[in-house]
Amino acid sequence: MTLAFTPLKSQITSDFWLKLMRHKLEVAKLDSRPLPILGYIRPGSGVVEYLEDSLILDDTVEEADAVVMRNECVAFKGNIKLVNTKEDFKSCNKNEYLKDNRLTDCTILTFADLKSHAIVYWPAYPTCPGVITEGGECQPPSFLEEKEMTYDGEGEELSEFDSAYDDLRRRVKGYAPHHFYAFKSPSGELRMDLLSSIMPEDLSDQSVRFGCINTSPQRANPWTLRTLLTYLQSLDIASKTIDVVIYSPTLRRLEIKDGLYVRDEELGKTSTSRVLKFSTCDWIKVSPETLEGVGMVGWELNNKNKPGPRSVNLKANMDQESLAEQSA
Amino acid sequence: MTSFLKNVRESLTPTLKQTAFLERGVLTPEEFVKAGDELIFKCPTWSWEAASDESKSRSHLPPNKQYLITRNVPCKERCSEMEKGASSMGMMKADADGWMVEDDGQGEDEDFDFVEGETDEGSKPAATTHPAPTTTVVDDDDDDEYADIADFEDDNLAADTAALTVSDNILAVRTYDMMISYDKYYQTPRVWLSGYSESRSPLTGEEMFEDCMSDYVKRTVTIEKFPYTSAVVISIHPCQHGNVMKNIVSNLTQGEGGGEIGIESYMFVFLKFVASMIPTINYDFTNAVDTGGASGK
Repeated sequence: MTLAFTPLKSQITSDFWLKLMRHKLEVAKLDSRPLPILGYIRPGSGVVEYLEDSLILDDTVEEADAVVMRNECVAFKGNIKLVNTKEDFKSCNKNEYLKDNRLTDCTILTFADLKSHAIVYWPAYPTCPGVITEGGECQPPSFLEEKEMTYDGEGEELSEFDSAYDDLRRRVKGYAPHHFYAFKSPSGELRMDLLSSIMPEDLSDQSVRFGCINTSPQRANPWTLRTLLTYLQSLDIASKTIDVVIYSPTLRRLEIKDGLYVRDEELGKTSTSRVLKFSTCDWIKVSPETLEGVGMVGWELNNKNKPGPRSVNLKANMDQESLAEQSA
Repeated sequence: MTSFLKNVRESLTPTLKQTAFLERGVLTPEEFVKAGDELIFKCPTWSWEAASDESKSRSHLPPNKQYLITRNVPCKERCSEMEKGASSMGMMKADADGWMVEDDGQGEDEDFDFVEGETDEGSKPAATTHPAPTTTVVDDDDDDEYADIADFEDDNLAADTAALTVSDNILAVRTYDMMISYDKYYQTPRVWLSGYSESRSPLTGEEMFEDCMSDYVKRTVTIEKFPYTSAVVISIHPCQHGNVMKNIVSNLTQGEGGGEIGIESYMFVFLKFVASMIPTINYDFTNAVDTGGASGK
């Protein structure tokens, strides 16, 4: 069975654009180096929101603290590149651009016409189109089976999973990671940690399973599953069967000042999850160099479902004459 | 300039210290926070938000509880079009027997054909009384050379066969971010709305007015700069909120079987009252208000 994935959609507030345009006018000018951004997504919404504080211009703000600001969401880390001319935007090699940004969750290519207050932008969520097999080809992952996780104890213990994820969020200052791995501690307790913390010896542990947050509003497979499968190829897990949990938690904002967070039991029951099994027998371990030869995908389609950018006109938000007319 | 003067006026107004909820329908900042906490507790789609930078923060409220927000509230149809439908359906005429019936705007021979224009909406009964929800992409300004950006499309992208395309059976609707701040001058909550089109682009003020009852547009509902960010949004002016809240609370508590109503219920009552001005913005999933009396809903 071939897996298909639900692409993410972007929603960018006028605050974000206004902040970016001010920065372009007053600070960046012709400097078109990418700026760091954070996209926020509520599990299951399918929409990545870029808000005013998504654009990180203050070097003194630690990125982790910015993430905590909206810890009821999963944060996507990436960048925005603001090119100087319409021609630069058009002539940019989009395939190469994605390769350059293959290690980011999200990227936005933008051109802002400051005179007419129009912005042309094209968001992307870079990922590998499939898994790299021993033959060097890029193919769909070998999907074996799917099962539900439940609260009743007959299937998977979802309540145990909720507790472990809450604990992980507390340890990373409220940030809700979109990828993680879960394992049984020596005392039999389910624990979770960030993928960046995984050690080679952990991979031989039979209880280890990998997880991604469900970003899809439908039952279809989320984009985060796709990026997780790409990431898993960088680990040495060839010739195995791996469990990947697609997890849809109910996230609540954590008040880190209190240091403690008590999950509301009623809300805890709204989480849902399912487990997909994959065979990795024909995968090869990939490195960034291996991926050099693989065309990355992930450009968002426009409103007409075509491979093209979108535009927004902020005249009504920026032009003083328009503002006066509207509010008169 | 107006926003600046309003900010000055608000900063010069002393903070309300004594509760006057039952007497005047107003809140102290502490009561606003308490009512907001209750709203968030019962309706997790709402959350507190801080100002985008410290200079915009109000000292009479906790820094991390400056205003309430709920995001991506769906708005399936235009209020302005709903009003047109309601007004045409609201006209009465005498039927053949002398009884007053609603005038459908058609001749008597066309009793069953009261939909203007052609329709193939047999499976959508709502379309017989109201215009169909607007799901088309709103075009940008006619003068905007970027409104049609087909020449920016790129067919040379790497092929991706595993990405699902958007299904036609998903209804694209406008969405709103709804904010509630505390107005220190009027001592009541104040509602702000920031909308997005079906294609997830920010709406202009004029477009957002389409989702408000026309009686209030440019009178009670105006275009303003949201004081906690840089966004231009629409706002419902709070000058009458205190009086209306006082009357609603009075009716709830003094009617037959009425009981008491606490500060915790303020925001739930307030949201139901605000819905009368923006009836098509579907935000109100809050609970019924219990006054403790026999008819306290």
